Amino acid sequence: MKIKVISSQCNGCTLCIKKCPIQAIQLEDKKAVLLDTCNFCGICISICPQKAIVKSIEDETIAPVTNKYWVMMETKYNGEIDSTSYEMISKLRELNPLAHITALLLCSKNPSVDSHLVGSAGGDELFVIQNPAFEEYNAVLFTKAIVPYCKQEEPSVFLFPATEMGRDLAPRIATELHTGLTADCTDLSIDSDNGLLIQTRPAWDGNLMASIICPNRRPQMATVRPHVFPMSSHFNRPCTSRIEKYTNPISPVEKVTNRSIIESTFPDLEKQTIVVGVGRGIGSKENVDLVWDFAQSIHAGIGCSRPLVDNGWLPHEVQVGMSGKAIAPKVYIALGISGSVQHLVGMQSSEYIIAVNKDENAPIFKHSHLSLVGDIKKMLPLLKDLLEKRKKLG
Amino acid sequence: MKILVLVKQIPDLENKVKVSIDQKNFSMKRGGIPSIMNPADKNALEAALKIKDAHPSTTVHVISMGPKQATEVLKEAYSMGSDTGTLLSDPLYAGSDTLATSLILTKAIQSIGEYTLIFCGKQALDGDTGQVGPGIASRLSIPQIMAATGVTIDNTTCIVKREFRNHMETIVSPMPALIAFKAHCNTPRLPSLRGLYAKENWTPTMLQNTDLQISIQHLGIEGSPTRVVKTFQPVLTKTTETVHFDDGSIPVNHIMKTIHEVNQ
Repeated sequence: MKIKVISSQCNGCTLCIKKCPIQAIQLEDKKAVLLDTCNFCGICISICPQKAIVKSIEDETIAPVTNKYWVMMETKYNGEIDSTSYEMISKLRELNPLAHITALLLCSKNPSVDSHLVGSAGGDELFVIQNPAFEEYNAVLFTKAIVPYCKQEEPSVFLFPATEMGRDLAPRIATELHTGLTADCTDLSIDSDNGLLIQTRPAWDGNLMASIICPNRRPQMATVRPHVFPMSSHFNRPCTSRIEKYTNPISPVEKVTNRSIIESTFPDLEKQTIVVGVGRGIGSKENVDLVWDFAQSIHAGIGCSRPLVDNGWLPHEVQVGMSGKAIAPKVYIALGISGSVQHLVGMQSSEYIIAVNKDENAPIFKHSHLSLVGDIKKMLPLLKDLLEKRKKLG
Repeated sequence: MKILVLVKQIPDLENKVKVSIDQKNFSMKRGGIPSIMNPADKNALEAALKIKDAHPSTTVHVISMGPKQATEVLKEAYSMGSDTGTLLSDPLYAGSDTLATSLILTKAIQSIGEYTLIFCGKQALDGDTGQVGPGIASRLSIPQIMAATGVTIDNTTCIVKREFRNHMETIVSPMPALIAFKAHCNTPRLPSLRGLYAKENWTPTMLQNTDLQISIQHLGIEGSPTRVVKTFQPVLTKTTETVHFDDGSIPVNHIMKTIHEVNQ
């Protein structure tokens, strides 16, 4: 039974009986009762003024899980493979030594990936689907090529990097496969009771973490944040290569007529050894500029939390966190950042974290190695002095 | 030309109201929390209204799914200049994940009939998945163009500018297509005075599942393959050293020294 009547709430108004398109409700002892002919259309649930008719979810059975795992590889415009793919392979290997892990790559000619690299990260197979149209990434074409193989080979797990490409492609594939997809995971584990993949992500504005499973559809799909897992290179698994030619002639209906790299006045955050992050506590745009001068003087990049982008003080490209970049520099200096989970997921993998905040209970201090409690605005003049001294010294 | 704009009402996160979680199914309790239109969706609406400015015969139809109070975001859109609106509201839809949500919205789009383009925000600030747009495009078998910053129309094609994978791109696409806009890509107009008056007497078309007739096995929690099994506050204690400096001690040198040491 997928619909039930809560008898204590039913007042016998018979509205549901009148509205039921297939006469599958009767009145017994002045209460509505569903007959076996009910086809679960749910109309009665919507119209019951007493909210006495509800859906009842049956005890869930768990679909079989296997050790067949797939990971999507992303080729960047410069031809390199995005490291997130290797990070996911290493994590899956660590979670399940028995897994058969396939790295899936779509490309136009011979793969630019060495299967040894996949093997040392923990993978067992490099699976390449080839077609001249795969020279450029396109969600529709990639989905068309991947879905039939996925239906045929039935991986139990299928992970994508939570990059712009992965977050564009994965939902299209998940929809075609009628399966679940968890966005932007920051942790993965395996349930020891049933082998299900437990996918953890920040939820509800990132102030809580949620663990999510996909119990009865396959594959269990997720996009995974870059740099949340280390990439290993010590697994040394013998990795085979398989190349399939996708022969259906395909070309995208939407055409890129112009493409140029986005030039930035700010250094690429993901390549910095030191990053200075600024948050709402900084107070003003002028103070942000001061911090930027300071960052440049110590050869650091500048990052920020979301409110600063919302205020228009810094561009989105330097936003660190859930809806921005994930970085792991050697040193991260958080100035006036309280430390919402939304921000933390973007920088908590940093090797050494220094935090400055006037609230000694700020969550950022639970994640920092050096906690400086005090008003950032009082520190800024000191920064300025330091800058000037440095300038004088040349 | 008819542009459908998908908008979502989200809790006003700036308002620092504690969001409560329904412990039964771990979904967010939205009742009683001040709400706003998801910012990127507002940018999508502005992009649609810009096209209407240039091509006055265009109609802009906004669609939202949510509780009855989500009427507010549709009224706001109306006061900004949209022509018509639909609210999909049914207790059966509560608890839907992105797969079920994209199905419900797709059925609603199909029930509305002909359309030229579908606009939405790239992602919502609350759920932050960005999955519903591509899900709808997939179900409708139309192209999806994510991370758009602007669109113009040229006869039967649309020309989309977008910032994707660290590149600025110009894309020419046939219509219909689904275009998802980046937050901050334009400045949404304020409601007109006339719009503010007019919205009081305007209501969107209300659709519920008796209208869309989607089998309940595809709706709500039952129609959602994903299950939240646990929510928790992340606990981590990493601090090794705490220094108070408001009394005048100089932390800058301390920071510089630390950077120097760590960088060794």
